Amino acid sequence: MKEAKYLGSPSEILKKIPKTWIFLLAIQICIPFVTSNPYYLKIFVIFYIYAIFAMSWDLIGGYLGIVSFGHALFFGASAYTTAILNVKLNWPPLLNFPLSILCSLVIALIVARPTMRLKGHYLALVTFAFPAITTNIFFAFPDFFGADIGITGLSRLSGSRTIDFYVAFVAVWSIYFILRKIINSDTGLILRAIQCNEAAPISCGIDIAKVKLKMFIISGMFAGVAGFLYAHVIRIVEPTNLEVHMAMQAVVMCIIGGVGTLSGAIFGAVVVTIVNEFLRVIEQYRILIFYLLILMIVLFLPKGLKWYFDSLCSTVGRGLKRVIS
Amino acid sequence: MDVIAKLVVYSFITGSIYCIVALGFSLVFGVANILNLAHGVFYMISGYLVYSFFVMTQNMYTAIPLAVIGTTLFGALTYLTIHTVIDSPFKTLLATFAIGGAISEIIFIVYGVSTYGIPNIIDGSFMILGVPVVKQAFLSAVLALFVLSGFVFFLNKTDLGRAMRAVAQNIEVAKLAGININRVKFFTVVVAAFLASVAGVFYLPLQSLHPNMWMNVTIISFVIVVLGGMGSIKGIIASYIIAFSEYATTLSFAEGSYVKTGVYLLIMIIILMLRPQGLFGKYLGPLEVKI
Repeated sequence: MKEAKYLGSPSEILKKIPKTWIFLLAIQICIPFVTSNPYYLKIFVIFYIYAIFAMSWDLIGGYLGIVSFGHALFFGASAYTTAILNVKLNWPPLLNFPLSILCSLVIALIVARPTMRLKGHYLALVTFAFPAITTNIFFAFPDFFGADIGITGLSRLSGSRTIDFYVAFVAVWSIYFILRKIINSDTGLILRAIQCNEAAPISCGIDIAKVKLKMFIISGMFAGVAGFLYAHVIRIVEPTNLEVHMAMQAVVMCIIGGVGTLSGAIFGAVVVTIVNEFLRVIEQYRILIFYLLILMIVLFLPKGLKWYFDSLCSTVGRGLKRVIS
Repeated sequence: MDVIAKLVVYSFITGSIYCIVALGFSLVFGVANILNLAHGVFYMISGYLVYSFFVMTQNMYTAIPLAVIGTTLFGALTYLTIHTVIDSPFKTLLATFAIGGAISEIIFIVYGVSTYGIPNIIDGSFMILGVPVVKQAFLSAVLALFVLSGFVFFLNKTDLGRAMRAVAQNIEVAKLAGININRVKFFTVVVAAFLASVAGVFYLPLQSLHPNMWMNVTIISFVIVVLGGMGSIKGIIASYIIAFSEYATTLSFAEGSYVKTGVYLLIMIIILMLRPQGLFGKYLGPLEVKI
C-alpha cells in the first residue's frame, strides 16, 4: 500500500501556496462586499462559466491535441437536461445537477467512440457533425425541446446574485486545481507525449485509447458543469448554446490566452468577457469583430496574447527592479 | 412509382451541382492540404455578387461572368490571407472558419437577413419521366457536368493540372521535379472558387439566399469527400448518394427538411467508423486516417 505523503501542518501548506494566488483569490472573494450591483456580479459569474468551459476545452484541445469544435454539445446537453427537468417537472437545480452532469458524461462517451480513432482534419470536422445532428433532433421535436426559441423560465440557481457568485467562484477554482493536479501528474506527462508523438507512449506500454477516453469524459463533464451553471444564471437555453459558435468561443479563449495553458484559458475568458461587454454598444458589429479578432490572432499572434502580456509584465518588472535598486 | 421518378430526377440535378462544389473542396483538401471551411462562402458569395451585378446592370448575361470573376478573385484573396498558416491543420481550420464567419457577417450587415431571389436565365419548366423540372435547374445540371468534364480534361492534359496531381500524390517528388508548390496551391484554391461560383450562379436562383448557408454547403462538401474517399475523382459520385438521401428524407416525412442534415451526417459517421478510407479511397491503415 502506498503511504500517504506528509504535507505538513496547515500553516506550512499555506506557506507553500504562492503569494500571488492568495492575493488573487482574496481579491475575488472581496468582490461582492465591494459592489452589490447585480449587473457586475452577473458579468463575473459569466466570466467564471466561460473560464470553466475554456479550461475543459483546453484539457483535450491544448494538452491532448484533440481539436474539438463540438465541445459546446456537452455544455448544451447538460443545460438542456437541467432546463427540461426544471421547467417540465419542477425539479430544483440541486437535484438536477448530478443528472445533467451524467447526461453530458454519457454524450461524451457516445461522441468519443467514433472520433477517437481519427486525427487532424477528419477529427475536427466530425466534431462539427454531432452538434448539428443534435440540433436537428431538437427541431424534429419542437414541443419537447422548444425548437428555435429554446426553453425559457428556468429557476434561479439560488436566491441572490451573491450566492450565485460564490457558487461559480468555488466551481471555477476547484476545477482549476483539479485540472492542474491532473496536468502536473504522470497523466499530464502522458497527455503531452500523446500530443507530440503517439508512437512513443504506445511503445512504453501505455494504453493511449484509454487515456484519451478518460480525458474526453473528464473534459465533457466539466463542460457540463459550465452548461448547468449557465442555464440557471442566464435562465434561457437555446439551440445556439450547443452550436459551433459557442464551441468557437471556448477555442477562441484558449487561443487568446495561448493553447495548452490553463491560466491562458482563464486569461482568454477575461478578455472575451470584457470585449463582449464593451461591444454591446455596437451590437451589430460584435460578431464580425469577434471573427476578425480570431483571424488576427491566428495569423499574427500565434503564441496567444497571454505570452506577450507575460513578457511585457516581466520586462516592466525587471525595469522596475533596476530602478529601485 | 411517381415518387421514385421524382427522387431520381431531382437527386440527379442536385447531385450534379454538389459534384462541382465538392470537387473544388476535395481538390483543395487533396492538393493543398487545406480543409477550407470557407468553401461554402465561395458558393454563397457568387449568389450575392450575381444579385448585386444584376441590380447594377439589369442584365443577367453580364452579371454572371462578373460574378464568376469576382468569386475567383475572392478565392485568390482567401489563399493569400491564409497561406502563412497552412502547415498547421488547427490554424487553417480556425483561419478559414473566421474568414467564413466574417464574410457572412459582412453580408448580414450589408444585405440584411431577408432572402433575395435571383432571376432565372430561362423561365418555364418541362417534363422528364413524368416529373416537372424547372428549365433553370436542368440547365445548371447540364452546365455542371460540362464544367466537370472540362475540369477532368484540364487535370489530365494541361501542365498545371498535371502539376496539381503530382503535388497531390507526392509533394516531395513534385518539388524535386521543379514544380513551384506554392503556385500550384494558389491555383488550386482559385480553381476551387471558380467551380463553386459556377455552381452558385446557376443553381442559387432556385434556392433562397441567406447569410448562414455557407456552413451547410461546406459540411455537405466534406461529407461527400469522406463518403467518396480522399483523393479520388471517382469519389465525387458520392454527391449523388448524398443528394438522394436528402430528397429521400424530405419526401418521406414531414419534418424531413429539418432532419436531412442529421441524416447525411449520420451516414458520414457510420462510414468513418466502418470504412474510414471512403467508398472509393485507398486503404490508409487500421488506425490512422491521413491527416
